[in-house]
Amino acid sequence: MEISRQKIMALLLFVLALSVAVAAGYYRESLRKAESVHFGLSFPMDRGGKQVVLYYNEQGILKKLLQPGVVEIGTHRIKNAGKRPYVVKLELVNLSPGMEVVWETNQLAWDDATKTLRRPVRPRESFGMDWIFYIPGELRDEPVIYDGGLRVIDAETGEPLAFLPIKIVNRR
Amino acid sequence: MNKRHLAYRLLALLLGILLFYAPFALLIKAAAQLLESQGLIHVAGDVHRACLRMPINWAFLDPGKLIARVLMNPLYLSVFVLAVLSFFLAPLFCGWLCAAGNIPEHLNRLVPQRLKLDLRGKLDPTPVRYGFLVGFILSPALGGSIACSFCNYSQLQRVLSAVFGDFHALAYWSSTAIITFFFWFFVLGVFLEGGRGWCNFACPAGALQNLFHWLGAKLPFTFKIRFFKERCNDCGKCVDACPTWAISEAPSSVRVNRLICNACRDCVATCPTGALDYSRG
Repeated sequence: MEISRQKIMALLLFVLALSVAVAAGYYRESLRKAESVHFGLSFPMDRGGKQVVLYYNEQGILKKLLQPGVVEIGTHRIKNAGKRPYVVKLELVNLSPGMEVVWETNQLAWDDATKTLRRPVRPRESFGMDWIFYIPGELRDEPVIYDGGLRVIDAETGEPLAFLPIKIVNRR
Repeated sequence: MNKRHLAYRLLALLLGILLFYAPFALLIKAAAQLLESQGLIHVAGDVHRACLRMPINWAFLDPGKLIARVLMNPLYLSVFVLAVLSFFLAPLFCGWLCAAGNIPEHLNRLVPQRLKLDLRGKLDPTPVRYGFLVGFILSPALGGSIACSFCNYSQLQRVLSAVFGDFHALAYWSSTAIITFFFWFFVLGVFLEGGRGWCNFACPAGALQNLFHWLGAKLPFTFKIRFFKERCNDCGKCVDACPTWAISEAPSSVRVNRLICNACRDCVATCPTGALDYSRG
């Protein structure tokens, strides 16, 4: 009797823990477009065909309470889909006055002053970059907080290689 | 506890930080030098390069992706190498080198007993641990992956980076990062008896290693914590000393739960009669 009670309890704990893990995945997914949007971008190809949108007002309650006004947009896949290596420079366009952006990458050759990766990105190679946006208080309730995008530029020739529109909005 | 044993464990913790975590990450950086042709040399070395979580998802749900990623960065095999080592040697990585598990455990020793939640003997961690492992594996297919968003290694890396001067590491906190830090470090860490709650309940890498240890421990040539009944005086000190609650009392004996034990050897160091040992057999 005691053993079967233990087995039932173990089964219940097993199912409960499994459910918690799956529910955590749903929770994370529900916040994906509100707190930390990730995307992929290929160059020299993508020229505005898709758009990244972050819904600022749909952040989780903990985030709203503990760290409002800070959101992340990032990618692990800025990919050279061309046939030759490129030295690339990145540019975030149309930033509002007072909106600070911190650029984060694990690339050792990244020059933050010029926003240039100081080594050639080989064909089929990709690299990652995260942007942490600090949204000033006066913009947080605006319907459109940021409407700009990421421009990838050939640092040697100045030629634009790709553009990805990025928006941070409050969804009503 | 035996002070010399504690000193060894603290030294191992320090070594774990030096090997895996930025700004040191000596093992990661050494691997990057060796793997220059794969492009790993271009990225800063930190604990993410030897991720112990995503490869578990890939192995079960997308083996092709695992192979492709391993070809780019063989360090993604780390969790499986650790699992195979656990088969022969027990999960020594968890007990000795894993900073994310050891830091809450050691800080837990400094917290007064009355402030700790004590579930030892009241809650069996085994079904919780393996239920969570199955949920972790299935989560990308059912709802969304929790490999990165609920990663305690990542939280520790951020804190260590900030401690060593890179304050940007703490610039952004998502809701899931806040939850992970709160539960890993506080609720299941320094304020839970033993300090190993996250390891016991929510660490897929640890669960996988213990699964291999459980299998390996059935064989006579593998290393494990062994109990010698004839030397035991039933004092129960080993039960209280075990940070993972892997040892429980049985009539005139103790039982070592191989699905939880991380071979930290605190029980061996505590036993006054030498009834426990880490050896082959």
